[in-house]
Amino acid sequence: MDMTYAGAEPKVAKRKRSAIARYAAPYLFISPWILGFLFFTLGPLVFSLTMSFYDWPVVGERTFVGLDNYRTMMMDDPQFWESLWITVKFAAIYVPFNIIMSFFLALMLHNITFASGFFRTAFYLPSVISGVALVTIWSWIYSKEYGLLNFMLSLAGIDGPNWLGDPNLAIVAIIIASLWGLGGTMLILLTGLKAIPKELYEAATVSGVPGWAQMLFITLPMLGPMLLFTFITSIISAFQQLTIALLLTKGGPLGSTYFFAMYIYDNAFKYFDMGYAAAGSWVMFIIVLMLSLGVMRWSAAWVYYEGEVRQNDGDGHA
Amino acid sequence: MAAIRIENLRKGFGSLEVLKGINLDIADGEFVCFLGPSGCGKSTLLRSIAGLEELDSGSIHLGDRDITDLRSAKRDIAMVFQNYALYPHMNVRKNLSFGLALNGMKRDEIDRRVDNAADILRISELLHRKPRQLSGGQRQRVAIGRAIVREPKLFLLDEPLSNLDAGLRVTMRVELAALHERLGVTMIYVTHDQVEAMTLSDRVVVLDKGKVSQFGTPLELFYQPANLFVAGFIGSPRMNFVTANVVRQDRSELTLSGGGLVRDLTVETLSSAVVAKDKPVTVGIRPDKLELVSPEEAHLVGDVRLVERLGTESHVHIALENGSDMTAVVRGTHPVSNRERIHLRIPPEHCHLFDAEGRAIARALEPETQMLINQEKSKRVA
Repeated sequence: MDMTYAGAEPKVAKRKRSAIARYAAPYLFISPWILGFLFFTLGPLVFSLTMSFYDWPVVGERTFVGLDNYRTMMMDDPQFWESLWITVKFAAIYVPFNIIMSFFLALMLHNITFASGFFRTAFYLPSVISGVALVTIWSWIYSKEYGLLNFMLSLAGIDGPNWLGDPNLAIVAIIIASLWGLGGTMLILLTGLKAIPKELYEAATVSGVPGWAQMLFITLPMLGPMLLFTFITSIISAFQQLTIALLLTKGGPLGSTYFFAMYIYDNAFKYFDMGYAAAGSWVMFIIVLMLSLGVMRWSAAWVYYEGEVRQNDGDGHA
Repeated sequence: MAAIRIENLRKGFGSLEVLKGINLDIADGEFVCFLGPSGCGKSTLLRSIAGLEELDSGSIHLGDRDITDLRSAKRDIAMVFQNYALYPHMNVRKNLSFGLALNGMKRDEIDRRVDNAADILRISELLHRKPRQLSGGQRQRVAIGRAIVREPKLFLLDEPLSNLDAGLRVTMRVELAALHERLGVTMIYVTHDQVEAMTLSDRVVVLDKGKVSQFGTPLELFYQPANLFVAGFIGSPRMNFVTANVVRQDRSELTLSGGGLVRDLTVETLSSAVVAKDKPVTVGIRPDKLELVSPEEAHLVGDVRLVERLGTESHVHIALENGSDMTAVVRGTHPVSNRERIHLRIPPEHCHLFDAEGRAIARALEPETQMLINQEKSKRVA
């Protein structure tokens, strides 16, 4: 009896300790990520928001200016609107092309049976190449005198244009170079295609549903969540377009590829106006956020989630 | 007319030949099950009829039309899939009408067919729901409904009940039988569940390794199995087998001895001439026909390994003296216990005989069994 009693107290203490450990353990496990998020994501985010209300030169006194940076940008800085317009134009072409081309590539890869692994790797590889290497390759491809593209055109008897020197063609050249890395989007859509049960198509085939209708009424709706995801990530990457334009055209010729991200970059690292650049970043953030929310809202009409029960669908589970 | 005639149908995948020359004649309005173990080719055969598999050779006729090279949609068939294959993003009404609408059918006619199918299957109140809001049984009904609205000449059902729980399977089985009765359309049903096959079918095609092992009525398969495979596959617990040698042959009477038998067994056959003296035969006996007897009357002797008490009956697993296993079904309250020595008699009138190649040696059935089989056959013809 004594021994049992003597052992009781440490057991209670142990139980208390283990309760604390039980609650704390999950947080301890995710603490590296939480610390990383606080210091490298949330911290800079709050810091940049604060910065955007200041006249903040890299060297020298900072001055609180309230919403002046935003007001100046929108009212007195034509470059803001020009760069934004160029970015919107780029996004309007890049986003649909990125998704449509990725979709058809994924569809082809899904249907081929011969060397599918090789082709999957071949199409995905460009998307893992670093931006600088990609630009080096494309600057050679686009070179007026020695470029591969103009060489190919010359074989067909066409005198190739100055791709990067023509204000009308430079943005097209950047769109093409950007689309070279669509492997990631393609892979997501390919995964989605592979997840569609083949019985759905067989049932449709037996019912006499033609191929185009199977694509329209089965494939696309079943890919809805993936298409939505790639749509939003494409918009984000279009608005963040910097590396290719910066290295390939430096914003030229005649500012025709001067993207909004480059405008922010120049304000920060060329004119050292950190407050103004931060304000530009927040404007970009809000634009991307609004677009994403708009797409999300619109997607309710065409994206179906397997785990979702909508109110107007019925009165719940049977 | 929606009779089906399949001639010398062959189908392989690469070097693997799955269907090895199938010949079948299925009558108009018949309910036929394709039954067999996994990998026997039953689903491939069904998919070939549906036009979802390209044939290597052979032909398929539906009525007087050769549909071998016709596209699925042109075959006038409907198919119900194992996992329902409902379009998850469409509600039940759209699932039912999808194919019809795209084939240019008029709205009124589509509505009539959908409402009629919903009425038959009692899913009218579910028409606005998405598949994920339905239970397994309701989903299955919708899948069947999608087949009904096509008003096809032939229904193909690929293990449609295998995803349902045991209770629901019984309910749906009854409903399927009633549906066949009501529609009167030819139905082909793939299953690996012999209870489904035996209860639903007019006739059953037993497939083994890509070949038709036997095609007959459920009672025929049970009482007159054509070979060892069918004898072992149909019936639960499965038929017991014991080998023996023919030691005497007197016209239609065979005397068997040796092998697993401890006492000679004399049986009547219809064609004793096919088995020569000293040739080995396999004696098959259903577990419920084995009799527990005194040592003097026994044909088999063994030790009880396990007794499974199921209430109304008990399954007794026995290890025979020659090392082979056997199962006997006795009444639920029989006092037999583990490790007990047991003596069994094979009633000659209930045993089946198979020759060295596994083919059945024909024997006369008991009159009332024969009458039942004849009734079953005449019902099919009618």
